[in-house]
Amino acid sequence: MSAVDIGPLRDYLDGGFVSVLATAATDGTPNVSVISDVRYVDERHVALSFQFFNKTHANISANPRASLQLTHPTSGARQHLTLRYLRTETEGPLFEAMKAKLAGIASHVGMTRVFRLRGADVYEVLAVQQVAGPDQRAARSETLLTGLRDALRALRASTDVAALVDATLEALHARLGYSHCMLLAADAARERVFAVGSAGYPASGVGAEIAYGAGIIGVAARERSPIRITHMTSEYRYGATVREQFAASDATLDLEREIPLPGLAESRSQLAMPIVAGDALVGVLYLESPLDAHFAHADEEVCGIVADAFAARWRVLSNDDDEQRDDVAVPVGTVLSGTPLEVAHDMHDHSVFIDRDYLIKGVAGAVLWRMLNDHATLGRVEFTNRELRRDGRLGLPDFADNLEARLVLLQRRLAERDIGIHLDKIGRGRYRLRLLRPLSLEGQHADERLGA
Amino acid sequence: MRAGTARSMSTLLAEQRAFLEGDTILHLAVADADCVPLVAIGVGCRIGTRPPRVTVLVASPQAQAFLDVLATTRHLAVEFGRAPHHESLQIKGTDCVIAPATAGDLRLAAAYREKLHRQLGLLGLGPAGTDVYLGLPHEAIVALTFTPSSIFEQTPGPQAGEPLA
Repeated sequence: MSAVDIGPLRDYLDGGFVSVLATAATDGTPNVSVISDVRYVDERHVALSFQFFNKTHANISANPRASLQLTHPTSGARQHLTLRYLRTETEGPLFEAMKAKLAGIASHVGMTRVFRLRGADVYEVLAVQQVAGPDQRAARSETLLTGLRDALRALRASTDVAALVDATLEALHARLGYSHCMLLAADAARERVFAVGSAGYPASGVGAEIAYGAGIIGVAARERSPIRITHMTSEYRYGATVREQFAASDATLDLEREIPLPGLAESRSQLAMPIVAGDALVGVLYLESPLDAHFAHADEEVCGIVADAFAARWRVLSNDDDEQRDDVAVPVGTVLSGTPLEVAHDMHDHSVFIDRDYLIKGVAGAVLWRMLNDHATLGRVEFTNRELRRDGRLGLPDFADNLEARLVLLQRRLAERDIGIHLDKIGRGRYRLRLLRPLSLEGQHADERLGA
Repeated sequence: MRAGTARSMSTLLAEQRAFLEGDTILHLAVADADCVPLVAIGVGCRIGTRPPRVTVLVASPQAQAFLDVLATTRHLAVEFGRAPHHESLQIKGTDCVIAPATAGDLRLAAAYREKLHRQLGLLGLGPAGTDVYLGLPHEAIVALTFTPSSIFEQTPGPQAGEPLA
């Protein structure tokens, strides 16, 4: 028996190999059963999926001692863990994470109706014994460490939030080799996350929103807990889930005002990592792959480190209201010509439409509408974070406003649509509106809410 | 598999013999005098129907503590499972005896290895990994033989745990 630290065994918990639990009744009658999911809690605790009221659960309720066999998914090595049952959790981050993963396993084996998580049984690990096979260590550690070092350097070198978003996605995609990744920022007041960038997809999906609790991104945001799914699951696929969730929660929902979330049609592995700074949720990093069992514990750790580095840098960059004009070469708008763009604004959700096509909504929509109004009535083109943050009409929360992330979102939506309205960053805390076409503002309530 | 009308243990074993002696993964459990359970794997199985007997082969160097407990309590639980849907049965007995493997048992273990290569291949484990899983090469194999006292449906689902006999 070795000292108890199951950290090095986390790779045993990945893949399709079943784990086996031996329990005993109080009369000494043994029982053995397979366990769908064993989750690492910390170096001395594991959680086992509890799906059915069966002999195993009757036994541990009366006699907490148990023995668990883990099998390494590629080497075949086996480990035996001596356990003591502590409690069953039926809600919270651990339960939600296991529920999400079980949905993936159930879908993978066609047993969605059979596999339903009743609880997460938490056990203390009393001892570990290797039974067969060589000791297993993460083979990819060197590659991941090198990629991680490069990624952290790139994040540290970022000088504004937009560059930080790009550096993070570039690091995940190019340096760490994750084929499909997405970065979403939190809108705490509306309990949603919105995409500010992605890599590996045909469309960026910038501006797409997910409600807290919808799919694994939404659950990771709500619970502030990482979720990793190793097999495809229909229950947590986004196209349908997000729309259903929105439709159920908001009777006034207009799906025409939704930007489609990029995503693999056949996502078979998913990893959602919340980004947290202090007590505030900053956003969510999301990785997916068309391959089964593609993300291991090491990937979860790497993603967690990147998320922490992002949060630290974001905190420095996003709350910087010190206006400084940098010597940034910004293309100057030429003489306004052509047919005026018809810009419409709906004060209900601050949706902005350009020539009747939806562009953006929420705080980013309100900011754009205010800038366009100020330009039309006062001739202004430059704006500061400080004034936007102090403008009560924009609907920013008092804390954790994520204003910089919203401006990045706005900037990118305008660039993607390429309709003749651009927002250029001209220095720390400063933006300039650059118009290439004349505008016709149609906001019927503009004067009441945001107009001059 | 499903629970049916009460049948004799001999009949039930005869019905399930092909499954039990096939390419099932064998998981074993015992519990010591303090009700502390231990787990082990089997490396082969043979079924006798008249009288009903279950014999499971175990590589003894990897399961010494397990076998020490079994020698004292004689209570054994064996789960027979098959990937990928975990179709499975559990058989329990209270009169288990441990004996050295016969020449026939060693041939049985060699054949079981081949079956398990296919079976664990369904779970993504290659032949080399399967050999590691089985603890090959086996230095010593023992045969655990018992009279089944109960057989349970174990395939995951609401019927799991229902006695077949």
